[in-house]
Amino acid sequence: MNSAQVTSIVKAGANFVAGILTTHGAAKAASIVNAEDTIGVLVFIAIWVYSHFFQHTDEKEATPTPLPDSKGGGTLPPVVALLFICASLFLLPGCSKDNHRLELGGSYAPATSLTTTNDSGVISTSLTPASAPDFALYSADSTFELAYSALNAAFKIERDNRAFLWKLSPDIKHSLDNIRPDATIAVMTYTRARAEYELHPTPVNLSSMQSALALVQKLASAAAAVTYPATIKQ
Amino acid sequence: MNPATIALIIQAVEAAIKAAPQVEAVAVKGKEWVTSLFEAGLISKATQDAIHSHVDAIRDAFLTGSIPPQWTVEPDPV
Repeated sequence: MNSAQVTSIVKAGANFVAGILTTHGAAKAASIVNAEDTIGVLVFIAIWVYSHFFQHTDEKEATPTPLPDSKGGGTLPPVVALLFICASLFLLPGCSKDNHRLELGGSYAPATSLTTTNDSGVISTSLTPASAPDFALYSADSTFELAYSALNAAFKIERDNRAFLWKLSPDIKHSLDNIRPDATIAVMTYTRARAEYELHPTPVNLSSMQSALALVQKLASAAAAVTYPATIKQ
Repeated sequence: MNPATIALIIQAVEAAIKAAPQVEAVAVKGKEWVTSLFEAGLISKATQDAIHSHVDAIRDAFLTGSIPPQWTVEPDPV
């Protein structure tokens, strides 16, 4: 393993730590500066600057093997890697929410209000379920909202920093441009499937909605993954 | 350090500052979501309503053609 590969591993590790700092907040450190989400960004900037000035490829050393999907050269801005880490964290599949309950009266647990007056004249109001709480819909919507946010952030960051990112690698825009139309269709497909499910909450419609959701998640992961491999490419 | 390098660093810092609000929003949502996965509890009416109305707003925007500009393919920079 040559020094460039070691540096790459160190960078990847540092990226991961910065992502954790950003996502979970370094509670005590953050309380000092009162800006926990800024810490990760600052760490990334530091890594980027360090990488730029202190990491030189030695012509005599073997070149690290590029990652399969790496395109373009150079180091991408840290914010993109940050996005990837944040996105990948909340796109983790398979976690259970079985222990959760939906509060009555919420959008996913509709209830009717019943007002009663007892013999003493005390008026009390109670909620009774109008229909069974729909945890499947809540779960799908909350996951969709996060995947949508990841997509939206990826697109917006690229658009807001287009000139800069274009100089680093045109592939960033081109790759996201490939995703944009599919993402738009996927979002519309999900919202239509959701509307159908709300009208007719059958297992078939639930399955359709979840399939549409899976596509949105896949595209969100792709949007983030487009940019990440190059960040650790030397 | 040549001027081009300095300019690149300044651009990187500017990019990070510009991106910070989006990243922060995603990070906060991600944090809440991950936390909710591992903490059993009652999902409040306010949380339910916020998610439902947000998804409704996204649906309305897309179905009425009010797609955010960053979602559209724009010409490459010259």
